[in-house]
This record gives sequence, C-alpha cells and structure tokens, in this order.
Amino acid sequence: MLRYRDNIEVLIFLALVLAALSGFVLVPKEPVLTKRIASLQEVVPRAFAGWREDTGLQPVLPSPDLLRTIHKIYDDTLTRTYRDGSGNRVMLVIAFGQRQSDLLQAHQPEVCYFAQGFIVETRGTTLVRSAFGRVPGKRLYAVKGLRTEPVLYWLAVGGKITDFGWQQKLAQLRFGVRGKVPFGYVVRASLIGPDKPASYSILNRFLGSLLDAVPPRLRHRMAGL
Amino acid sequence: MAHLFPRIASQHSMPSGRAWLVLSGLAILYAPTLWKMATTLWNSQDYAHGPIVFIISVWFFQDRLLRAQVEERWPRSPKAWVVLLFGLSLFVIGRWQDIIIFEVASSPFVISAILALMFGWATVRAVWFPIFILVFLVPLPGGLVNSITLPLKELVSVCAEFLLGLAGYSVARQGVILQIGPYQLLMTDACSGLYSIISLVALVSLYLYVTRRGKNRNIWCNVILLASAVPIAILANVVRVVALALITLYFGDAAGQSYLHGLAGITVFVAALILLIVLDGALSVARS
Repeated sequence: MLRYRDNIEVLIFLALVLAALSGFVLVPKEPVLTKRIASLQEVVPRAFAGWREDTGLQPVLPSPDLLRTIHKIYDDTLTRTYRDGSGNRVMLVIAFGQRQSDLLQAHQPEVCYFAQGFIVETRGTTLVRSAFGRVPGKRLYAVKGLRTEPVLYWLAVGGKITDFGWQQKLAQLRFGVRGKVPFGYVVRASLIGPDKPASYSILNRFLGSLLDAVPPRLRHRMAGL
Repeated sequence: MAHLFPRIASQHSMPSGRAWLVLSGLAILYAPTLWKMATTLWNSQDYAHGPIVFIISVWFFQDRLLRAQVEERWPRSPKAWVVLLFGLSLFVIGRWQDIIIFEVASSPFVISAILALMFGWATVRAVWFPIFILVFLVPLPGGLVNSITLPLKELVSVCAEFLLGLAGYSVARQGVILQIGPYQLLMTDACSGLYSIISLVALVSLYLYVTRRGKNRNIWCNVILLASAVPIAILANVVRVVALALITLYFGDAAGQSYLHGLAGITVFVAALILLIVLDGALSVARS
C-alpha cells in the first residue's frame, strides 16, 4: 500500500506540474485579430470633410527613452496634423496594439502629456457624433509654458469603447475568459488653443468626420461603430 | 526570538533526492514567469531591483533552510494543502487571465505550503525572510503606479526647487519642469522615485534582517525605520535632482545627461543608505 509519508514529494510534484500545465493550456494566446491589417498611414484618409493633412505641427509624443517601450506596446501608430478651411489645426494620434495584455497595454494620454512636462487637467466627457453613432470621449486640458492644448480622446479594446485602469483590465478579461487576446486603439485629437468650449467642439467635429471617413472595418475596430 | 535563526547546522541534510523532485516542480511552474519578467519588466529601470531581490531571496533561502532545525518530517497538515491549493489557483488564474500580479504573488503561498508539508510550519518560520521578500517581485498595478507617480514627481520637483532656491540659485518651476540658468530639466517618471521607494523598503528589510539578528530587537525601532524608507527615498530623489541640476548648470547638458544615465541611480542609493544608517544610529542613541 502506498503510504502518505513516502509519497508526499511526489504528490507535491504532481500538483505543481498540474498547475504549470493548466497554466500553459489556459494562457490566452490567440489574438482576436489574426490577419495582417493595412497600416494606419494607408487607411486613414489624408483629406476628409474639409480637413487636409498639414505638415508643420508635431503632436506631443512620448519622450525618446520611452519610444523603445512604445514600439513594443503598439504595433502601429499614426501621427498627423490636419488643417481646415478656416485655419483650424488639429493634431491626430492613433495608436494600435494587437495584443492588449497586462504588461503590454495602451497608455493613458494624461500620463503621456504629464511625462512631457505638461500640467494636465481633466475636462469631463463628451459625445463625439458621427453618422454611424456616438462615441464617448474624454476631454483634457494640457498646459506647458505658453502652449495650451485641449485634448479629446478615447480608448477602445476589442472594438468596444472602454476606459483606462480597471475597466481596461475588465475589457481584457472579457476576451481572456474565451482564451483570446484583444487588440486596442487609442484615438486622440488635440489643438493648440484656449480652454474654451469652441476648441473642444472643433475636436469633436473633427473626430466625428474622421469616423465618417475611415473604412468601416477600421471604424468598427477603433470606435466600436 | 533568538531561536528563530539557529546558527548551528542541523544534522538533517535537507536536499534529499526527493527534495530535488519538488525543486524541479517549482522550476517547471515558475520558470516561464521568471522568463516573462526577465524579458519585459526587469529590462526597465523601474524594476531593476527585481533580479537582485530574486537572488537575495534564493541565497537566504538555501542558507536558512540548511541551518533550520527540523522537528518533524512530513507532518500531516491539511492547512498546508489548503494554502498550496490557494497558491496554485492564484497562479493558474494569473496565467489564464494574464494577470502577472497573481502569478508572482502566488509564489510565497506555494513555497510556504510546500515547506510546511515537508518540514512543518516551524521551518517555514525559519525561512520567513526569503519568502517575505518575494513580495517585492510583485509588479504594481499600472493604475496605481500612474496615480502615485504624478504627485510624487511634483513633490520631488517642489522640494528640489525649494532647496536650490535656498542655496541662492535662481530656479523656476512649472509643473514638472525645472528651469535653472539657461537649462530646462524635465522630470521623467524615474525621478518620481516610486520604484526607489520599493527597492528601498526592500533594502531596509534586508538591513533590519541582517543587523538585528541575535541582538535584542526593538519592534518600534524597526517599524520606524521601515516606515522612514518612504521619506528617505523621496529625499534621496530630491538629492539626485538637485545634483543633476547643479551638474547641468556648471558642466552643461551633456554632463548632466551622462550623470543621469550613469551615477544618478547610485547617488540615490548611497544617499538613502547614509540617511538610513544615520537614522538608525540616532534611534539607538535615543533608546539608550
């Protein structure tokens, strides 16, 4: 007969190996997006609804020492400035990460701005209206010296709008329980101007038109519409 | 209390053949976790203390385990099986849902439970320190990091501005940018010192553990020292920022940057260690 004392190490070993194996089997491996998708540079139109690409103004990007990490986190980023007929200039940043996981996940714009030396204040939420539906966006006001920058952004994980922090983790969990790894998009528009409703409504209008103009697949992925 | 750390080597030689079986089980379980951390988190400056904590833990672990007196081998302990089950569930949930915090946090539970099953809870108590410092390997949740980093950065900037102003330099601060002479210094996340706080708490634990062995221990002194790790880390970071500002002012931007990437981290630790030893000395003087 097998005695408990003689086999306790074997029991422990089996328990450990069993846990290790279930860890291997259960770990979410499969990204929701498996096929290669066209780069944002190609897909996002350079001109739409009166907006036209403008070269000359650089949006706030992460510091150089962070860029290495950024390349790890995001699989594709787009940084572009647009200008409309009345001279409004809007800076657009779209960041796409194929695998949103604990260690590699989209970064919050508040943190990006603050890290660049901006003082960041939140300005509540707003609904971005497009022909295909409405998207809840968050407003920020970032100040650095004389540069004042109203910002409007949202985060979408797995084709659903969510928020940073625990909600971001929850969005990952919704896919994780099915063994999938979701993708994520951060869409951010900003302009250099005063902290006035007019500035935010320009951003709102800009992002709404952008959603109208991008291909349906991308619209669905980055805003859930 | 002095019996917690017996110096006499025990007659039992611990790593029997079957102990190796358990060790290899642990290796199979945690090797992927260690690999994941080594290739991601530990590459960043913020978690530079990770591998050091791990090595310290392993070293103290084998050291203490070999010296521990084993009263009873293979005691029947249903409690230990429960702890093991809990730890392994934590691990599996962590793997399954990609929550690295759970994955790493499971290790103290799993290891204590195994020791309890093999050698009894007294042995677990004898190796409490290497098990305890595994806690410092657990990464902090991103949201918490963000919400602490920003105010800390501001605090360090304010203190640095104050000190430099006190010394008669003309400094201006806006948010996390310090303007000194013709130079602008931007506080990076590293300047917040959040991670130096964590590494410093680990360092203070090690310091207390090593220096307090055998001696009469005063629990309040230890608590005060451990709690002071936080202000000490902040102060040490202020020292670093002030040093960076002065080096940049006198020797130029390039010198400042090379300091930042070279000696700055050491400055923090030397400053922190000196503050710690001074405080420890002051406390023992106050006590006697």
